Amino acid sequence: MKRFDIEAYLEGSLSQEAQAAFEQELRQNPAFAQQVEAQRKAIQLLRRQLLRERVTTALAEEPVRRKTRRWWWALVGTLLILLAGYFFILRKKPGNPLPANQETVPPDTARENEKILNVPSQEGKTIEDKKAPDQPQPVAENKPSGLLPPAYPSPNVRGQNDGNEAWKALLDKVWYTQLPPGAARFGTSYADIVKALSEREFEGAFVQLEMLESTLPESDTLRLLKGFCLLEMGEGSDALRYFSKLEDKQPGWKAWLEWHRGLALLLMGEVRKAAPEFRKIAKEKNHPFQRQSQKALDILE
Amino acid sequence: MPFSVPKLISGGKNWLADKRAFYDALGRAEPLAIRALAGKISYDVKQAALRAGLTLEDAEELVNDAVVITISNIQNQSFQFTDFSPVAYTNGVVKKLIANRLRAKNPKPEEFEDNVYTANFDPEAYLNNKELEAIMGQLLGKLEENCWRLLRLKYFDNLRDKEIVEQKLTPYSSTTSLKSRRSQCLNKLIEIAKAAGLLDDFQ
Repeated sequence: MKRFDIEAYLEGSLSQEAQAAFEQELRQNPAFAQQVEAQRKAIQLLRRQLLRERVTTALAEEPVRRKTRRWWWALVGTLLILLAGYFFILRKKPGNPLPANQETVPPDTARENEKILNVPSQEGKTIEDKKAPDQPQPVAENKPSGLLPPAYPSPNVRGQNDGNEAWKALLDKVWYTQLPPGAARFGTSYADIVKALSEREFEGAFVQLEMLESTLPESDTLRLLKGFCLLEMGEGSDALRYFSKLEDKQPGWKAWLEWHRGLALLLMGEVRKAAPEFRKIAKEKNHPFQRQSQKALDILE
Repeated sequence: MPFSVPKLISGGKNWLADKRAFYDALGRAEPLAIRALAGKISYDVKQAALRAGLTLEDAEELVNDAVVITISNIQNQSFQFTDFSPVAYTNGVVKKLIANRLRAKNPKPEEFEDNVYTANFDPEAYLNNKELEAIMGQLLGKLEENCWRLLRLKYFDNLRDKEIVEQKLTPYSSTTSLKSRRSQCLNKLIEIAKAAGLLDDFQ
């Protein structure tokens, strides 16, 4: 009996002649036709089951964030309102630390936003830093730095901290990331992206940034936001590439970039390179991430 | 684009910026593409599900199902690349799935109206197959690990026999021995599936 290659037939890789012979056999031999059909269905079932597994695994990577997102989002919303009030009061006071030209900058275009972002502001400070110094500090798990733990865990990174619980735990302790400085004033082009970032939908934000990139001219804001997305998606080295040289053009972002660059290095497992970054920040008493850096150093050392 | 993002690039293109590349990455079931697609649709799906009286758990299941169907239809070419974004196609899938859940009711997921492609699939058949796939998932445990790996490399990772041998991904040093062993494994799988009655009902 002639042997037929069912696998090649189902893949469509038979020659024209072989295909014709195969199809003739199918018509003439019902048992053979059944065998081919069974193989086709089994492969289909197998493929679909494996695909379902892949999708479930890919979407289940951040279960902790999903569960905690709703109440964290409420907390973040409340804090944003408080901060808005705080800045409003600051702007009304004489001796306002923000430069006067900010009053006249319309906030609705990307380029204008970049002008705003040149201005060193208090946006780079963390929630803890924004508290008045004479206010009592919250109980913070006996941490010498007095910092509360980070609001969100670090991302999972395949091949780096994935499977290494101790390393992941360390990253979780120092993962004080925050929206890039002035994100709330990035303008209408970035409104959806900033919303996605606030909701910690980093993949979605990244997709939108890619789309925006095809319509807007090259911009530092885009690069900053893409770097931030990649960092939160666990892509430390790619984030670092986007962050590099940005502070030369945007000095107002310097402090934020220094800290997040350190985190990107940690994410990559580059402790030797991250530690000097943190040491440098920790020495600057007025650096908005001074305490975070000190905490990172304490843990690393 | 000033910088490259190697992990996101396929075939020299950054797929997130390009519908075709995004479509192709989904066809390969790349995890980042899966997450990006789910990220793009999940907000609208949640809104539509809640409006239709479904729960957030239902919405999560809908997102999973819609992503599986989209990728599956890309792979079997029933969703062929046009200028439509895969997101629009997936929204169409969700719309059908919600309609199917509500059956007699007439859902109006307005959130999708401006971004929907009419997806060509049968929700009933999909749900029937989904149950069979779940049983298949349990039955796969009966296959020995080596068999399981051989089938996966061929039918899910879509690797060529030559690549599998060259990269020494299995103990087989020739494509002939590899193919022969895989054929035995597939027959075993068919036998198991037949015994469970999976193949008769699968469409």
